[in-house]
Amino acid sequence: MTMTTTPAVLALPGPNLALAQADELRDTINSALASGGHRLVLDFGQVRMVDSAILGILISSLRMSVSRGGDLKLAGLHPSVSKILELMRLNRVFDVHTTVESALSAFEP
Amino acid sequence: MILSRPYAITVPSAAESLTVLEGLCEEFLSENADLTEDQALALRLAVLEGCKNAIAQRAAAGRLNMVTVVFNQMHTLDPGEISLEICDPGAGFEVDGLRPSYPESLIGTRFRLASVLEHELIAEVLDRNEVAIHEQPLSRATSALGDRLALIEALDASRRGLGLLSLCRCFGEVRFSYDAQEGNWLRLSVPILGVAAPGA
Repeated sequence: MTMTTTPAVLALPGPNLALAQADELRDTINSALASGGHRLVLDFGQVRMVDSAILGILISSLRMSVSRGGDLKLAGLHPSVSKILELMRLNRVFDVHTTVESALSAFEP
Repeated sequence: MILSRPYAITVPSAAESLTVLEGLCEEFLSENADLTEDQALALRLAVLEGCKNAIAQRAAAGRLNMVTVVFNQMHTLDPGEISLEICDPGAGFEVDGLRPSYPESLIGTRFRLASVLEHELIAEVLDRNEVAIHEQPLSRATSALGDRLALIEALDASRRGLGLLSLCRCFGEVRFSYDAQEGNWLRLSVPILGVAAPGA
């Protein structure tokens, strides 16, 4: 996982993100949120599948960032990951963008 | 379309086994290219969710810590159907604090397992060793969650039900059957719409 500038960008490892990666992912997202002032873009470009453990971490991270005035945006979703978000109706709460650049520009300066 | 060979595997109940189980799923999908993308996604998700749950189960006394995954493809009448069965060494699905064999008095009763926003997961005890889980809209209206943070907080509070909910949304119903010798079977099935049955 790699992090860049503020708002933070976190490139997630793929192709499958599941329970085995959950603890590491939670820690990494928390660090990225802290470094980015609770504004974070998660780059899903390499991810093809996510399970409920990962969705739970995303929801918790989103709650943490929004409650502190920030946001967590998702970018570069593979169609299968988009489908899972739609299936779970999480597209109601996550701000999803085609590219990382688009997600970054959606943050207010 | 007949299953050319059995797609079944028994592996140690360990996180490292997930890669092998995912590989079996991909092999099955590659030889069944007429499945829709949604069906393929449902099976991949089921393997991730079902096997994760199975691997987390502790073996009952006298039983090995193994997980078995079976893909069945069958044509009954119309439509055909694919089923995925995952057996873990656990003591069965817990309903109302009880595990199988459930008391006779529970047969036919329904219990709310969890609620996720406007929906809830319901478990119905079918017999002393089998329970079916499905999703249904909440019977009473919830307060309007127009505020984004309120919606997120409500979701965060109901994370525990996400795995089962995802399977219910893909397959319509999730069944757990307990067998004292084999363990706990998770059973999922999905119709293969548009695929003609043999002789049809």
